[in-house]
Amino acid sequence: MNAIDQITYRARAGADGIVIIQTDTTIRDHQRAARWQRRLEPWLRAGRCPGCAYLDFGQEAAFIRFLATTGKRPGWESVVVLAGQSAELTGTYALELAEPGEPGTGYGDIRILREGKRPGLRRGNLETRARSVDASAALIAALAHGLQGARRVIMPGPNPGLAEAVTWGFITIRRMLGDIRPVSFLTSASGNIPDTDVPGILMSFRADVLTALPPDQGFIALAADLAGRFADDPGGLRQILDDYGLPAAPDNSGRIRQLLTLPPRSQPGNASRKGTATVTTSFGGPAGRVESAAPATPTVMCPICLGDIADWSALEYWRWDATVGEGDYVRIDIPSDLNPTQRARFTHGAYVRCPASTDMTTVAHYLPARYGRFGDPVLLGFVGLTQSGKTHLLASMIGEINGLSGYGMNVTELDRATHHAFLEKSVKPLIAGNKVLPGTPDDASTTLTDAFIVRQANGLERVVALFDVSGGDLARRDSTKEFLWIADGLFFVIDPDHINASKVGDDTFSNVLDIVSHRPKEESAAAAIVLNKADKARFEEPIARWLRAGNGTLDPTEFLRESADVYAYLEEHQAMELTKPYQACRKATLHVASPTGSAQEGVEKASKYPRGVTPMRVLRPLVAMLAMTGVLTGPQANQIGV
Amino acid sequence: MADVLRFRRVYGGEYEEIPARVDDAEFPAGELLTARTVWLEDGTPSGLELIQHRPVHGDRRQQGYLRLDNEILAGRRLHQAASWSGYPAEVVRLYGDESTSADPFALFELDHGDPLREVGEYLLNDAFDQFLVGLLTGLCWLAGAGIAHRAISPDTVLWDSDTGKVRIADFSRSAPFGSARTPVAGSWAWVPREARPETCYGLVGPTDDMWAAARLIYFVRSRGKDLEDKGKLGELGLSQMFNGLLEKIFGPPEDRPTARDLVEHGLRRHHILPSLQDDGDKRLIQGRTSFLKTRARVHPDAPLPPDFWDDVIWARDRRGAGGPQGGAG
Repeated sequence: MNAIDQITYRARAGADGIVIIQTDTTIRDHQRAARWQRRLEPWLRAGRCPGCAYLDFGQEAAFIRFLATTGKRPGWESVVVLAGQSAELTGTYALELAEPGEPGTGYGDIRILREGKRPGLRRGNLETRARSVDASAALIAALAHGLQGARRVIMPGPNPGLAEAVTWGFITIRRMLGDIRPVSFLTSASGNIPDTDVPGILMSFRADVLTALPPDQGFIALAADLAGRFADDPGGLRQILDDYGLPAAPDNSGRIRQLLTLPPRSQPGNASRKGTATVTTSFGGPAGRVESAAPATPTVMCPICLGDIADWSALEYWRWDATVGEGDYVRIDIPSDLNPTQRARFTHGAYVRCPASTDMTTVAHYLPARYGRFGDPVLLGFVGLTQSGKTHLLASMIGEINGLSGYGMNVTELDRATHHAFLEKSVKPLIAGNKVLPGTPDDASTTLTDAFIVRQANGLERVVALFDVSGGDLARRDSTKEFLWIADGLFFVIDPDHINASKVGDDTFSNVLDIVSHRPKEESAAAAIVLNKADKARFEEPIARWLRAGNGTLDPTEFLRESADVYAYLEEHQAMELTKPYQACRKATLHVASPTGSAQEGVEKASKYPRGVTPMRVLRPLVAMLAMTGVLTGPQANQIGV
Repeated sequence: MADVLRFRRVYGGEYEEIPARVDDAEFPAGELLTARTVWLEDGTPSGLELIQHRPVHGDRRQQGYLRLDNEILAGRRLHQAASWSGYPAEVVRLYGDESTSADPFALFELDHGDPLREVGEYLLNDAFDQFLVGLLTGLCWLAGAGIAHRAISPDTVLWDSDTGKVRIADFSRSAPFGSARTPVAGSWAWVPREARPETCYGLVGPTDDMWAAARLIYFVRSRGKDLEDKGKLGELGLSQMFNGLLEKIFGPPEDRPTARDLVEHGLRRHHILPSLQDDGDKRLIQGRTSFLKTRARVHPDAPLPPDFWDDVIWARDRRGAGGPQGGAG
């Protein structure tokens, strides 16, 4: 058996679309060859010529070189695949190989491939180009995303050759940093990029993306420093990283801490000053005040108290400190002489305190520092009776949020601590532990459950914030949850068991719609009515049909059909009161969803889901909501909800 | 082994707890289900003999749950479709189910007959004709219930030589019309292209089973051979027998004839197909129409997408305006 095997596939147009056929392989075991084809097929369909892909599956890896095309889908006519152990077939080495048909060390020479670690023929060219000015911006963006911990990075990719050089530089620098986590990439991607079985980071370059989602400024500064040193002198970069102990850092956080101790690149002689930090003990004002040249950000409304925050960038930074009493926010004092990189370190994961908190009558409340940096955040709330499954729907939605990439959206968490806390408290117990989650307590104050920065292809990034409120609170007419006054979208959540209950008119819905109809906001909220826990009715029509409809597409007709069928289901069950949001809100859709896929065992709150948890159709209401609130745009998205 | 089974009979009602004797021995029932024999204590000396299907244990139990749900859904739908005229002999009959607990099950009445894989080659002359009519009748029932079997093969279609009846079994991979097609694993000889893992697309519809059904007809006619080329249909007289319609089955699902088409326009027989209610589509259409009236009031300027009705009207047209009705034979 070859240590590195070679497989050739061809794309052929069939009656039912493109068919991918294996034409040659060095793998003699048919089952193994078939397994590779099954594994690679979605990636083959995602790639284009000219371009390549490297997929690190953990133990094994594959490198795909897409060859000539005549313009037919899927963008290539044949591919050559190298497959082997990922330790042997590394991403950089695969890129360095001569292309099929080129003279020299290439695909036809398996013997040389098996010799392992010798640099490939193209290494010199790749290094030169990776260090060039052309590659600089893309390399910095990629490195910044990597440092920030992104798992999926979509980059603009008009030039596959440059993309290969950037990718080569990216991996090379990561390895210098001691970051050995897997890196997979597609240098020319189209259509849906699979997001399934590759661990680590997946970087894809797309011609239809004009600019990459910008990472945090602090990470950009760190990345720019690294890319600059790499362009100047790769050997010098490796040396200083070794000197400062980067390869020995225990994790990504440790690496970033160590990077912040590097001396500035412009200071001659600093390379040998091991351990010297430039952070001083003098303190200065917050970032916004120092960077006075920065334009003032637009007014943002606080979702907790509805107060206007006029100049977001001027707010002081705070951090959560678990060691203070039972945990409290403490102000971050930022030294005035910090360089941008050091400032980024200080403000990473920071919060701002709403200015209304200085009023003695208002309880202090905090928001992630990035909350107001992307224009008006989109606020989404969950509305429904107690035990209608709002918390479970929210948890399963967030558990599957990466599935939004299938709709062309790039999603990153707004605040890592908040996201991590929700994952640990709700998502993991539900999805991995099959545990029934406790409902939101009636007396709980409205808090930001989680928030994300969402960007559609080359569009603007928007903050999408999710709020969960107790059902009991919403059912009380005297309780007017503040966020309802400014919510952009509301999920009206229905338990099928409540449909047949004697009191079909849900006070929760009525109360919420009453608020929504009286608020001064220019546009009323969008609504997604969700027939939740639909597994309870999974043998009924049209529930059976829609629960089995998979993730679907952005086709507005599909949303309209589902809306019509769920509306008809409610009508058939004489539950027209529950359809009121459709008539009251400017845009609305109806859905079936099952956050767990099956019922819990017994009625005790500490019980489990004995069949395991398999969320079904939970992302569809969110996709519809993102379309109806303008996060997702385009001709198709604009038609959703009308 | 004495036991008490808690289940709901398929014709509705509440859950009942009925004493039963349960056979310890289990045997496979499809890929992810196991089966065992149970005797419900119904007052007769030996009890009512039924087959109980349950999900397999272990790593694949989760998938087993889904397979069992498919069987229950198909069984319930068939009962609804057959409520006017009695349950069809051509499909296995669900007796009851327990679908909510951690250990769900379905109870089926006994399957009589042997898989066509074993006996297909012996069906000659009249028996072949009985097989043809029985298979197509069973498929018409499935279409009337809005269900595609999605695993028609010589292993899932039985032949009862005592009664000369076909019986379609194993609904574990079935799906309702209008749901998204999911990939079906298995031999490519019996899985149409639109359901294969690498080329799966579209919505489940009434012609999904026809591809495998046509191959099964060839399999029996050729005494156990797989169809390698549709040109072979002519060699065995099937092309003429079906008035040229059988070849059309090997195109895309949208262009295939239905089982009813094969009987009416292929075999050109006065058919005795079972009367079916076909109220599923009617309810769907009525419900959507009601929604559209509300939509027109809320969004008076919003046009209706031209393909809005495609997932219903297509299926309905293919089955005839009133659904599979009348009689054939």
